[in-house]
Order: sequence, then structure tokens, then C-alpha cells
Amino acid sequence: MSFEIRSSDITALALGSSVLGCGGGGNSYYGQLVAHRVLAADVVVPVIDVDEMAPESFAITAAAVGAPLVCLEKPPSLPALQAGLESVRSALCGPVSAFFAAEIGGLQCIFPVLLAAEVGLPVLDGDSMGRAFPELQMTTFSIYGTTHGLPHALSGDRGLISPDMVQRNHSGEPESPDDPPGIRFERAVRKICTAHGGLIYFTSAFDQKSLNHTLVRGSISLALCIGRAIESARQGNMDPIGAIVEAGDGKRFIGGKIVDVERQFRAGHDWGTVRIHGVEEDRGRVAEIAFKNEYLVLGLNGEVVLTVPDLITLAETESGTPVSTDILRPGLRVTVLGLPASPLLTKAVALKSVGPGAFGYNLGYVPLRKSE
Amino acid sequence: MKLVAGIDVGGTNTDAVLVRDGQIVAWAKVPTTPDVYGGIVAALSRLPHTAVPRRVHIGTTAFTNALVERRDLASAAAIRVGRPVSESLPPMTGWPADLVEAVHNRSYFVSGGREYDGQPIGALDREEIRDIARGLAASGISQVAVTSVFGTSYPEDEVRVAEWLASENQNLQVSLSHRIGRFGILERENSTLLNAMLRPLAVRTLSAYKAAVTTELFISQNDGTVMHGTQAAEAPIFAVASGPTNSMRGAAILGSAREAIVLDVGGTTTDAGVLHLGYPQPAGLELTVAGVRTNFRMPDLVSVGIGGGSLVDRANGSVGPHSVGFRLAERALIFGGDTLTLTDIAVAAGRMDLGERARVAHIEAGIIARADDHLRARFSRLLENYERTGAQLPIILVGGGAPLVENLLRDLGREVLRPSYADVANAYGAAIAQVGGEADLTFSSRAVSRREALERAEQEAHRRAVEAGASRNSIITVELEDAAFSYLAGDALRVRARAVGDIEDASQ
Repeated sequence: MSFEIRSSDITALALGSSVLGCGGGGNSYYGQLVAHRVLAADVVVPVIDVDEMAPESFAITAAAVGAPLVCLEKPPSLPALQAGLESVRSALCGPVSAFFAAEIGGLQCIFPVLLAAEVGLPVLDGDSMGRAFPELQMTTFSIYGTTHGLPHALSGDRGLISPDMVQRNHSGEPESPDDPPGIRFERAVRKICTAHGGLIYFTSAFDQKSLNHTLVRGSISLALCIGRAIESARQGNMDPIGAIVEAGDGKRFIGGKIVDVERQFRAGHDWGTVRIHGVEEDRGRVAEIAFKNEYLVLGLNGEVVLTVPDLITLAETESGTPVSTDILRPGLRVTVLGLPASPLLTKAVALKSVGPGAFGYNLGYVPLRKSE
Repeated sequence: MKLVAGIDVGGTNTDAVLVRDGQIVAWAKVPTTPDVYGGIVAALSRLPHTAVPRRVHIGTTAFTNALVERRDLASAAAIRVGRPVSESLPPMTGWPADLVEAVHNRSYFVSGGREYDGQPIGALDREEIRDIARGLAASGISQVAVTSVFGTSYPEDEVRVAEWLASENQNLQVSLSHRIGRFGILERENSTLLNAMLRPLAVRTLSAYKAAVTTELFISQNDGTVMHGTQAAEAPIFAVASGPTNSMRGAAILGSAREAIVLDVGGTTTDAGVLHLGYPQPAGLELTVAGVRTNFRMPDLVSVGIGGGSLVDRANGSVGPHSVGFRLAERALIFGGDTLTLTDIAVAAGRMDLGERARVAHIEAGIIARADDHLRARFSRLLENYERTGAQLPIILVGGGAPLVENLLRDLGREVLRPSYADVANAYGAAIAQVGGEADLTFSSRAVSRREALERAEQEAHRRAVEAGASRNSIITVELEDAAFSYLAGDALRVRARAVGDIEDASQ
């Protein structure tokens, strides 16, 4: 079913998407401000299902690659997104009919909305993660092998980044047979990003047929639904946590306060553990959550109760505001929630790329709900 | 012995305290006058004439009020250095429309700025700056805010632009973002622009203060320290929202506790905050000033609807959130009114001596017990939020409503500190304030180890504290935190440090 995104929906979209960001995905505040400017004067962006795309057409995704901290000095760049779009479009043999988000969680869900508003095309109700993940090979496209053979572009504030550079960095990396698909490309892009000011944009095109079986569907409507539920709970003085659980078909694990945050920075990522002591009805219970940019493994009183790819997310108990891993600090009052991952992520082939093992944990996938 | 006067210019009252070696030796409370000056003079004149303070520290809402009421604000020009970076997010994005209209600011993007690793984004262009300076001279705008991409780590471009502007047009007053704000370009630029808009008012206000006080003048800042009057004329934005911090700092010293919960019980609400190393724990979220987002941080205060004027439900004993507020003197039972308030309960229970006790003699013990049960449950939940593993923090109880809840808190087994002079905690907080310095820097991990990065940021914060007037051997670091630039193959670190120290008095 199609609907429209307006300027007035941006806050709810961003709020819901940061719940789905599982502690990562970057701060979307600057992205929201740019979106408000682009969607001013009653510009609306239609949202369609992938089935509504013309069969021979392409949809384009644009995503930022780099450090969320850099985004605070180098806000989302419309010219960079346009440069990527022009490059990819010129290499396509068919029309572009929509844009879509690579990652619904956090800042990334804003980019397709910006492009769609500027070009006058719809966005697809879906993404390639249904949440946030730290690396490019963790998309459903990489997992199901749909990345190959389609044009892509890297761009930055000063325009297109030469394709030669991608090639050079691509071929230099040795590959082991155990590597998940797409990891060489991820490494190449990461190196280019580091050399280009820590923030670049990755644009690529997908045909309708590939999207049909690899897109995580309904993620834009889910983010909007969660965001609106939090907003209306706040306005009506209702419990925002309950609203998230209901809107996201999730589960509340524990409410408490953060007593301890341990973190270290390794190989470009923010690794750590946050410990939460239950309060009120959860008094006496202790939660421990391991994170690598995003929350990955939830332990309750020493037992692992939820792991990636299912969504572990923290929200401020009072306001329902999602708590990202970079603002964790002792004393913060939070509730730990779990949401189910897309079935595309929980198949055996997908768990190799996005299960606990892919993050270095010697653990099996512990789902929110046992499969029927 | 050194005497320091602290003054809190509030919306209703102007409080003054005279402090020697941390002890209050005299205090005064007078009504605030519309010109502020009269109130300060009156308050100071109530202090003993034999004791002349060496310094006067003033906590003021003048600049907050000007921003909130959109008056006395100058037009300013925002110069963003780093084109084409950040052009999709121009200056003043997200500002309230009425403020934008009220000030007629201008925006410019110029070449320059740095990447996170210090690489130039583009070269500064002197002609570009010269044209702006000439254009501003023609338009009569004298305030400029310069914000460079990654300017907190690489301030050189901002400094250079300021020099070029000055050489072209000596009437320009330039506010530089790396001296005002933190990492985060829009919030930093917002703070710098607000600062530029306030500077002409600051000059006028400071000269009024200087006329009222004959000794050295310092102004309270939102981080709990003070800045010298001459610096306040250049950086008035730091004085915005200093009130809550002053009051928590005052409570900390009056209560002699560096790690404690502060409960300020007023007429309508109780504000709760927590002290760490004697300073209020900052809130995680950015502070919005007059609808504009900045990256200053306010103390993390939780407000609950429990105060002296809170209505009490006879049936179930629930207290608040509705309150008779400032009409306590007409509506409370003890003053002949018809409304059962928390103050009536306290008088009936013999915890407070106020109004006519006979008017509440009829209140049954059951009602008091139910209200007590309700409050014990509410406070126990509130306090639970501040517990650290294994340790209960003492409570510093301040505000006019303190006697209402003191015994209940003791019932909960808590250590309760009831400092004297809690009524003037705010002015006291201003008087005892130290000076400080802050640094917010980024480092490439390839060039600098983490330890070295932390050390350098700390040294820079100490250097700035000395610059602000701290005596070298009194300086301590109160905040030191780092964050990695995750998702980069070559790591980079952001380090923020804050240091405070005692004011070095010139004649020492």
C-alpha cells in the first residue's frame, strides 16, 4: 500500500529509525534538518512497495560510508548524493523508478528521501538490513549475491571519486575462502573513505527482479509507525516503551539504570559492554549487552537471551528516546527491548554474515521467538 | 583574608552573599529592579560596609532573557569556512522563524576548512574575505561569527579569517567558533552566532555592572565557573543558563559533599540532580537556548511535582502535581484558605511552624500517614535512579520546602544534609565559583597514542584555565573523555577535557 512522506513525518521517521538502529546508524539530526529544507513548500515523497516498480526499471540506493562523528562537522551533502546518482544513472540500460534505503536504522534512511524529493520519484518501502549494521557486506544484497554486475559510484563533498581508485583498492586485498561475500569490497571502500575525509557516499542501482527477493520489506512504514507511537505516547502521557513494543512487535527485557560502560576502540570500531541493573519490577536482575557500534548480544543474569541479527535496542525509560552506543553513561535510565529480525537475515546462509559468529562471538543465534 | 561577593540576579529577587574562605559572613535579599543595576546596588549596600569584597561574581539572566524575548539583539554575519562542505546545511537552519526575522543575520560560505585528519578542504582566499568585510561595512553590520569545518581541532583558518576581516574593517567584532562551542558544526555555529548577536548588549550590561560594583567583576558561566568581566563582554553566551548550575554548586559546598544528590524542594516542584566531584552531572542532551540548539550542556535535572503548594488528595494521600503555587498564602488551610496542601500536612504533623496550626488540627492521622506513604514511595523511586553499585549517596536538601520532606527521607534510611543558607545557594554558588578551561580536540591515532592525545587535551584545558585567570597550582581536571571515530580504517580520536582552578588574585 502506498503513502507519502512529508516534512511533518521526518521527525517520526528519524525517531523510529533510530530505534531500529540498535544503538548505531549515526546521529540523524543534521539529516533531518536537510530533509526539512528539501521537503519544504509542500514537497511530498510517495512511498511504494517493490511490487509497484516497473519490471524493467531500477531503484537506486545511496548511503553514507564513514564515521558518524565526521558527520557532525560534515553534514549530509546534496551535491555529493547527486554526483553519485548521475554517475550510476548514466551507466544504466533502463529507467530509474525509485530510491531506497540501504539501512533503515539511523541516518541512512534519510538519504533516499532527499534524492527522491529532489528528483521527483518515490522511495521503496524497504531496505537491505531492516536495522543497522556496521559493514557493507552485511546487506541482504551481499548475502544473496545481488551486488555483482550493477553500476555503483563513490562520491564526496567535492563530487565523484574516481572509479580507478575503487579498482586499485579492490584488487590489492587477499581473500580467504571463509570470508563472507562482499567483504573485499567493504575493505576497499573503507580505505578510500579514510583517505577522503572520513565520510563518502556510496550509490548503487538494483533491478526490480533482484529487489523483489532481497529487499527487507516494510521497513519505512515500520520506522514511521514506531516513531509515531512514541510521539503520541509522549503527548498522551502514556508509556513510550509499551508503545515501541506494540508498534515493533517486540519484547521488553528489563528496565533499569546503567551502572557501568566499558569500551575500547579496535580496528576502527567501538567495542564494549554496558551493564544495567534492574529497578522497580526488575530489581535484582542484571543485563549485560555487548556492542560493536550496535548492540549485538544481550545477557540477562548471565544467560544469553537475544543475539544479532535480531534487534537489541535501548530507550530512555521516561521519554522512549533511543540510546545510541556513543552516549551510554552510568546513571542513564534505560529499558532494553528486543525486536525480531527480518526472516531474510535469519536463514543459515545469512547468519554467516550477520549472526553472532560474524562479529567474533562463539555463540549460536538466539532469536526473540522460537521459530514455528 | 579574601572577601568575595556573589550576586544572583533572579526574576523576582536579587540575592547577595559575602563569602570569606568559603564561609558566608553576610547576606541580603532585595527585589530585582527592571534596570538590574538598582537591585545590585541595593543588595550590596545591605552588606556590611566595613567589609569590602575583593571580587564580585554575578549570575545573570540578562542574556537569556534578551534571546528569549528577541530584544536588544544585534544583526550578525555568519561566515562558514569549508566550502563546499556543509553547504546543504546553511547557517541558522532549524532556528525559530521569528528569531530569524528579528535579527536579519547574513550568511556566507567561503573556501578553507580542514578534514578530520588536518588535510585542507580548500585554500583560504583573502579576496573573498575582503569582499565580505567591505559588504558588511556598507550594510552597517558589525558582528561576525566565523565557523570553520573541524575548527575545534584546527582553529588556524578561523584565526586567519578574523585577522583579514580586522585589517579590512576595524569596526567588525569577530566571534570565533573554536573559542565558543564544541565539536558539531551547526550547534557550534549557533552558539557563536548567538554570542555575536549578544555582544553589543553585553558591553552595555557589563558597563552597568561595573558602575554598580567598584571591585573586580566576574560573571557566572553555565559550566559552574566564572569568567572575568572583560571576557564576558566578548563571550556573553557562556553566561546563558548559569542559574541551575550555580544553585547545585552552592548546595555542594554548603552541604560539604562532592558526591551527593541535591533535592531542591520549591512551591510546585522538587528538582533533583546529582553531583560528581562537586559539579552537577550534565544532561546527555544539548541545551536549547531560545529555540536554538547549542552544544552546551545543562545539569541533568529531574523535576517532580512535589512542593509546598502541592495539592493533597484526602482519600488516597496522593500529592501533586497540581499546586496552588505562589497563592499558598491565600489558599492553604493554615492561612485560612480551602485547599489541603503539602504545607498543611507538614504543619499538622508538627514538622513545620507556619500560619495557624489550629486550622489543621482536624486533619486525621490517617490522612497524614497516607500522604507520607505516597511521598516515601515517590522519593524512593526518584532516589533509586541515582544509586551507584553498592553505595547510597547522601542527600543535600535545599529550598523553602525542605522541612516538608526531611523526616520522610530519613525514614528511608538516607543521610540528609540540611545546610544553612540554603535559600541563597544560587548566589553562594556564584561567589565560590572557580575559573576553568576546556579543550575539544581530535587526533589521528596514526600520529598520536591515546594516552598522548588525552595528555595533550588535558594540557590545553589547563592552559586555557590559566588564561582565564586560574592560579597554576590549584588547577584540577574535572572532565576527560575520549571517543573514537568509528568506521574508519585508520583510527582517529576526539578528546574533550575540562579543568578548573582558583582565581589568581592580582595582589597575592
